[in-house]
Amino acid sequence: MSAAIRQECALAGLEPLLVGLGSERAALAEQRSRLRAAFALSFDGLVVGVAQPRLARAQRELARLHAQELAELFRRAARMRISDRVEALGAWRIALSEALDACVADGMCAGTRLRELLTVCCVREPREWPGAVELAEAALALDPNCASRVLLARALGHALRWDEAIAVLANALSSRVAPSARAELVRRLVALLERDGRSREALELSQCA
Amino acid sequence: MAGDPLRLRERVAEGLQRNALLLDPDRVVLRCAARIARFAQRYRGQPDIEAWLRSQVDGAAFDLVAEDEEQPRGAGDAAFQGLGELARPLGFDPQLVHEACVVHNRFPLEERRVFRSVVLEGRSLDELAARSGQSATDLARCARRVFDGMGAVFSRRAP
Repeated sequence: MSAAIRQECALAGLEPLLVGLGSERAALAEQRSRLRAAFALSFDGLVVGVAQPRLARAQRELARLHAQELAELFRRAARMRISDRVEALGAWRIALSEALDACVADGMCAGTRLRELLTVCCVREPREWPGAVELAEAALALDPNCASRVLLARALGHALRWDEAIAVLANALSSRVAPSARAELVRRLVALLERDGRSREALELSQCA
Repeated sequence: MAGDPLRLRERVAEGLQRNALLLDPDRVVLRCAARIARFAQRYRGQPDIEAWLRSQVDGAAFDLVAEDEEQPRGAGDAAFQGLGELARPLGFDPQLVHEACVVHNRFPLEERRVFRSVVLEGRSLDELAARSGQSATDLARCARRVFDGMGAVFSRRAP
C-alpha cells in the first residue's frame, strides 16, 4: 500500500480494517490493469507537428469522453442483467449505436475484447449477453469511478462471489474516494459483510466509519 | 483546434469565475472542446447557442472536479501540467497544489465565492459585506474555512 493511500485510510480511520478485508488487493489491482488494457479505446491516427502535445491531450480528452459514454451504457446493461428486467432496450441500443458511430467518426480504435463485447450486446438478446460481472468489469475498465466499483460489487454479490465483492469495495475505500461517496461505500460494504456472515467485521467497520 | 472560433478560453475563464472553481483552465478548454465535438450533433438549436455552450463549459468543469475526486494522479499526469507551471516557480509541489485545489472545489459554491473574492482577488471584507449583506466576520470565517482546508493538504504531507 502506498504511503499516500495509507495516510488517506488512516485519516478515515479505516486502515486496520481494510488491510484485513482487502487481502486480495494486489491480485485485484493486477486484474484491473489487465482489463483496462483489454478494454482500451485509443486513437489510431499518428499525431505530428509542433502542436503534438496539445493535440495529444485534446485527443485524450475525447477518448475519455467516449470511454465514459460506453461505460455508462455497460453499467445500464449490467443493471438489466442483475435485475433480469429488460428496460428500454430499444433506446439503449440506439444510444449504443450512436456512441459507436461517434467512436468510428472520431477515429477511435477499440481493443479486441471491447469490440467482441459490443458486438454481442448489439446483435444478441439480453439473455445471451455476457453476465453482469463481465459487463460491470468492462464499465470499470473504461471508467474507473465509484459508480462502476459499486456496480461491480453488486454484480459479484448477485453471482454469490461475496469475497470478491467485499474485496472490490474494500479496495475502493482504501484508494482515493470522494467524501460524499465514502459513506455509501461503507454502507454497501457493511451490508456485504453481514450477508457473508461476517457481522463482527461489519459492526467494527460501521463503528469506525 | 486551430484558433479559438468559439471563444472557449474566454468562456472557460468566465465559467471558472462564475462557479468559483480552481482547475487548470487548459484542461477545461480541452475537455470542453471534446464535449462540443461529441455533443454538437445532438444540438437542435434549443437552448440558444450561448446557453448551450455555457452548459458545455460547466459540464466539462464539473466532470473534471468529479474525476479529480476519484482518481489518484501520479506525477506527470495531465492534471498537473498547467498547475506545474504555476507551482514550480513558487517552490510548491504541483501534486500538492492539485490536491489543495481538489479540497477547495469540495466546498459549497458560496464559500468558494467568498474565498475567491477575499483571498484570490484581494477584495476587502467590508466591500464584500456591503455587497452581500453578510457580516464581515461571517465572511472572514468562511474564507478561513476554505483556506484552512487547503492548507491542511500541505501540512498533512509534510515530512
